[in-house]
Amino acid sequence: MKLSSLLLILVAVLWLIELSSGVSGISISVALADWWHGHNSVARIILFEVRLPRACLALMAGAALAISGAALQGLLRNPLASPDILGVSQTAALAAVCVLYFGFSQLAWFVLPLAALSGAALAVVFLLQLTRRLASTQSLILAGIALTALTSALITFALNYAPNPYALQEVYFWMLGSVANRSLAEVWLALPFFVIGTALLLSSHRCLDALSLGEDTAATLGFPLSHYRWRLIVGVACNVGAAVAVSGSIGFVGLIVPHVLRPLVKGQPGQLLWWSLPGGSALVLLADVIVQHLPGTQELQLGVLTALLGGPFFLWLLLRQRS
Amino acid sequence: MTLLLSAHDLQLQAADGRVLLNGISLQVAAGEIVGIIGANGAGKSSLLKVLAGIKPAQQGQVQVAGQDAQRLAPLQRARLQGYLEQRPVLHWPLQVQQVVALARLAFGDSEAPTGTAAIDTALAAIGISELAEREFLQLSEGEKLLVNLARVLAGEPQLLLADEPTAALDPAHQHWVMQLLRERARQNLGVLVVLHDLTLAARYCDRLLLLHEGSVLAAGTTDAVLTDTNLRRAFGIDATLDLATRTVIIHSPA
Repeated sequence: MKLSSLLLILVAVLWLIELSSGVSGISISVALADWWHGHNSVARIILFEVRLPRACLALMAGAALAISGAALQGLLRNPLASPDILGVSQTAALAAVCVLYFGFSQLAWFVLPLAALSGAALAVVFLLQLTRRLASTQSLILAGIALTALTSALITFALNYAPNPYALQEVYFWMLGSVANRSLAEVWLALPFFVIGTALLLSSHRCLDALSLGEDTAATLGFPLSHYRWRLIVGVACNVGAAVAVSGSIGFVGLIVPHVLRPLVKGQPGQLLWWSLPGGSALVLLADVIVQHLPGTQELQLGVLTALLGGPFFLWLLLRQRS
Repeated sequence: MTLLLSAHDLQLQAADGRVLLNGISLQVAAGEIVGIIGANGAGKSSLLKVLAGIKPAQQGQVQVAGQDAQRLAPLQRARLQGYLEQRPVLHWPLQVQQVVALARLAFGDSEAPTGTAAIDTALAAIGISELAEREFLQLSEGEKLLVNLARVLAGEPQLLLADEPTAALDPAHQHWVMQLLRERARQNLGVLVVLHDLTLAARYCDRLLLLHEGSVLAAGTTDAVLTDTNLRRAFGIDATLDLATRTVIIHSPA
């Protein structure tokens, strides 16, 4: 069976498991029957207003973060690049915290994702400028760590002056990364940015293939980076902005997924973009199913689990790069 | 003869104000090999990058196949000309045939019969069909250069711009590559090639452009350019072109 079919089946199975998971033991078939007959039952409410948004957001956030990681790795030609390691997610989070903090998010539905998107775009532009000065892979990662430290400090600074302790707790948990307790409104909030960002990135897949040979040769193959740079930056920013705005910082998805899939697409950065979408969805859905089934009084935040998986994975990659 | 490349009064300055190219004009027609020679830092690679569309010149015009290069869409230009870089780089672990297939990106047919035929033909022409499934990064520097040459030929260009294509090769392969370019020129390919080896330039080029500190010191037939005086001024060496063997004999530093 082809890789594409396997990945799509895996995502479909995990999505159904995610819909069936939860503290209340409702039956999916009963909930669907109630919906079909127009009965406003508890099972129907739980399925459509609790589990469906969660499953959709896991699907979307995973895909958005993974395709952003694949695009960043192709654009910067750096296998260690990913939105969270380079500080792109944290800069998006800082912009989102500022908007939440000052109450601007109430102005219009798109202010929060737009702020996160702008933060992410700013970080990518900053990193792209740095790549012209810092030639080595390690230097860029160090710059990303510095950016992460700075933005984390600024977020903490903002939280120090939070108007009330509940707001502080809310932002803190949001930053850990989760898709729990969300509504369909959040799905609709992120969806347009995800669709636009993904379309922009997928339309640049041939440029990423050409960039395999470096910027100069890519230009002579008909793909000058100057023509595609903004498309890629806005594409990454839309996806990271959308994911961060509705699910906080779910780390390492953009690093792990492209790495696992790269050998399966024979290293081609353009094709990697396509398969990172179902790959990212599968990883986040799986992680979210696991956090729901872990024992404990309080559910573990999704971002904590991906960090527990991703941290050692990142160290392993670093060691492999060194050798 | 069809004019494939025409450049007029090209000027290029570095960010620090240093003059890299100063009023350079040249032409390459179908079926000829034009060589660019000059000492290190004379501006050879900068000139090739401007002509390939990698660097924009601050002043001057470039025409590719009779069309203003600035008005040509990048993909259109890529279908007309191929560029062979000095040092091949590859950032991902691709196989040789995938690297060669990148030349077909501009045509969008790397999986279609026209594209795969062009890829197979180019691999066979360079004699590296057996390397097709090997990983590019595992190859020797010389093999990498041959793969990149196959990549450029797979794009079936009318004009080839090559930056020191023989630098990483042993003497036998150096002559083999130049003979291949000669053969392609006979089939109407226009070739502009940067060379360090003056004997290769003397044997295989129809015309030469001798650069010195960003300006053209001499241009014309190989015999007219490779004079003792020009070689002394450009390279600081006492050297003579032996017309019988078409070999540049270096006597001593000037």
